[in-house]
Amino acid sequence: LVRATFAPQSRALALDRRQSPAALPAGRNPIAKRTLCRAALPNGEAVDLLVQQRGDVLRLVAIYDGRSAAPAWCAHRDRCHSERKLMINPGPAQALSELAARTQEMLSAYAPGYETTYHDLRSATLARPKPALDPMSVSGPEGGYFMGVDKRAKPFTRATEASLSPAER
Amino acid sequence: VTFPDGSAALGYPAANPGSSTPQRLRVDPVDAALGRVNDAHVEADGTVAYSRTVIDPKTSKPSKERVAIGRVALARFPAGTELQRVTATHATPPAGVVPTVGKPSEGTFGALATQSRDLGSVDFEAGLVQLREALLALDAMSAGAQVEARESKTALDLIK
Repeated sequence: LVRATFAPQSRALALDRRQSPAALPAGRNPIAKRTLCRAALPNGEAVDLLVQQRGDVLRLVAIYDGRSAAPAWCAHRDRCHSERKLMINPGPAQALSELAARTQEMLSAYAPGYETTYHDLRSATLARPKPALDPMSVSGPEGGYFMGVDKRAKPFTRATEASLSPAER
Repeated sequence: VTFPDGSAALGYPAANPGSSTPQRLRVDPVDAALGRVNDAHVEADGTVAYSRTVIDPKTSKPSKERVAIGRVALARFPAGTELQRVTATHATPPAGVVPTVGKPSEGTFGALATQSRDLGSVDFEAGLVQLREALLALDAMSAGAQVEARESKTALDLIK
């Protein structure tokens, strides 16, 4: 997965080279040294892109809307007045991706039992109980994990809002 | 008894007191079928209990009685164990690490804090520092890209 930014618009796109757009009609296969990518726009819209890599710079060649391949500058000409070539610079894109990941960690900081993906963010104090109204909600002691079991594995958790589910009843 | 993600909580069933292996905790199927399970709660020693209303056949008077399903199991890992994250709220130990399993308020395990929820493992202050550093890095990258674009334009203008 490549996170990339379109420099003229400073828009972040997530390019997934593993997904090949099956909806593309025959005859529009990527030419040599060019790669088809599925990109997710910030508004959630998915588009197919033809990009060309030169060094560590990705150049957007065309945007596919499923039936036709439009030159990149046509698809974005209303937003791109002076430049017709859209460059994807991996440096700021990586920084933006890092910022987004860190932001997501902070947004989950108060989720019960949330396990951070960053070891440098792991709190030294594990037990941080806060009052709750649910009588089935309890906090484990320092360093203690509850044991669960599902179809795949036996994971350990500190998320303790247990319930008597209909299946169990 | 299930956790929010749907996985079944393991513990020591009251109906099988001799068991040393954690098992799934289940409500009495008759109570469940008759809808007599009320006021389910977890106590400080890990006991999962509920109250059921029964009618005395002699006096026909309803009365409530407490029913314990069992006690939830707790696990602890050796100091320095770095758990591998499975989901946002679940983790597993690395291969070969065997947890110490027990019951709350017994042995080295402390009591549970009832009617409370445990916050995540994120150190909020450290997170803010890291977030600020990430923002600064993005600013630096953006500034660098702008300078690079300006220099390219200047070079092209000179060539023209």
